[in-house]
Amino acid sequence: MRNKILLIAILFLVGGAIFFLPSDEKKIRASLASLAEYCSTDKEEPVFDTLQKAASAAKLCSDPCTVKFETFKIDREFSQKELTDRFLMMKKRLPNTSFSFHDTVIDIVDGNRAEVITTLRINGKIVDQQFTDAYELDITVDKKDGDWRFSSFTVVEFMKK
Amino acid sequence: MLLKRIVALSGETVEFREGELYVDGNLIEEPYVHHRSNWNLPQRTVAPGHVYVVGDNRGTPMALHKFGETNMNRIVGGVL
Repeated sequence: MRNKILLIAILFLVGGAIFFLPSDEKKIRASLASLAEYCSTDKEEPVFDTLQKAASAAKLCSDPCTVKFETFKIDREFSQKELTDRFLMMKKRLPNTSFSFHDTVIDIVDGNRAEVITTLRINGKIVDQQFTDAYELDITVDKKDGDWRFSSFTVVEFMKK
Repeated sequence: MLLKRIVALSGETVEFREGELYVDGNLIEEPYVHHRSNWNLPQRTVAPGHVYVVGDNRGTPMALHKFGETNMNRIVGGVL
């Protein structure tokens, strides 16, 4: 009887651990949420926080990381240093702006690579005027040393003026 | 996923003159547009299998607003 109770308790513990351990998909979603948080800028964000967030956003990406954005003729690899500078520039240009990801679909291609399709929504204020923008993104995420890092961002452009 | 209004179907022509929308040369009344910039876009014909979509928020300059012809297979649903 005691053995049975012990066995059930062990099964519960193992089952609970498996259930509560973050899956790869949960880890990628958490990274996306962090990226959105680091890219967002509060109205009166201290300069030190801005610097730290820009560096943290870049650290979520692989070194190098490919960025493709046809409208702006961008199609190349960026080093982590370049990404930090770009994130910093973006945050300085867009104070009081929030980033968020929606409709995210994650496809784990193999144990070490995932393809993500998501919608990036940007809400902010420029010169007292509210703006909203949205982009469809294809993101590749690679697992290295146990950590998932964004290795490419492609802005999907499917509307032709 | 983006939310846009279909303003023209394949085979129809689309044009903007001073922010006003013209489909097949006819001015379209758009009471749902509250802020309008002076967009000017020469006439073009929507390709087969495509629709022309525009958002209702037209207060931004045309270059910053994402709109245009898109393949119908991109449509995932309508607004209820």
